[in-house]
Amino acid sequence: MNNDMWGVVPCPIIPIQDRLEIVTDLVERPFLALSSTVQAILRYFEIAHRMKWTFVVDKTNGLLVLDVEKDPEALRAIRRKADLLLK
Amino acid sequence: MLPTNIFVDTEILLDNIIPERREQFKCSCLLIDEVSNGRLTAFTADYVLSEIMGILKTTKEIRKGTAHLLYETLTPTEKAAIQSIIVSLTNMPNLKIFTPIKPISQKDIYDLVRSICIQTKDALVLLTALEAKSKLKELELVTRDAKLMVRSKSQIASAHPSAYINKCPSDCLSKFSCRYRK
Repeated sequence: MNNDMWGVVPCPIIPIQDRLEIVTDLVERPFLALSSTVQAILRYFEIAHRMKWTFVVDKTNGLLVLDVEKDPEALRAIRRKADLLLK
Repeated sequence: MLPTNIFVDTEILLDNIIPERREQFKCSCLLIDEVSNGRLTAFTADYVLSEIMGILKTTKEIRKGTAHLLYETLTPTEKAAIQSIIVSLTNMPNLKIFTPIKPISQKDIYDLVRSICIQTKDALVLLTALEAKSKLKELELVTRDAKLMVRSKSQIASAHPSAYINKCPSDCLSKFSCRYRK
């Protein structure tokens, strides 16, 4: 591959509601040749500039993490919602 | 002594979401239960959320008996349900969506794919995990993907979720096929 082709993958901060349109390539064609898969990943990041999420520095670890309100019942809710969706 | 910080890949989270997988890979559920109750802190990449979303979409397609269902044919309720599951994942206590401060380059991905022979999307996840590892004292990649687990060992400590439980549940459906069974 030509060095000019090396791009930079920006921090992926894509609003959830925008993602269903772009995930198909990633999931349905996982065994594409490397260059095609890189292209699929780059398409995934094409709208990364539409930043709506906030990341903060995690005080314990010094890592940049998604800043959202945590819900102790989230795991139970995930399983319940998946049961309904995939029944 | 196992690390209390783990980096989980797509499969581990999917095992907790898709109903049949909950019966088939109970160690993943027990692992995420430990995260939810605060005994472990888990990190994952934002990219993983999108991969999960895509697999939920595909699974819904299979349920409807079609090989390929266009996005437009999903009902608003189905779209909202998929999105809601992803949002709930971000809300889960002690599961942190980590993003690299330093952008990951295509060259990094390409070099990693070439050097340890993993899929491109796994390379992206592994590179993200490696950046998290550089900030944390200890971090283990937890995956059920045997190839990724073995091939990533040169870069980061890796383990199967069963390493984090005392004994595998007797009613786990993969008890006869899982080579990591305890």
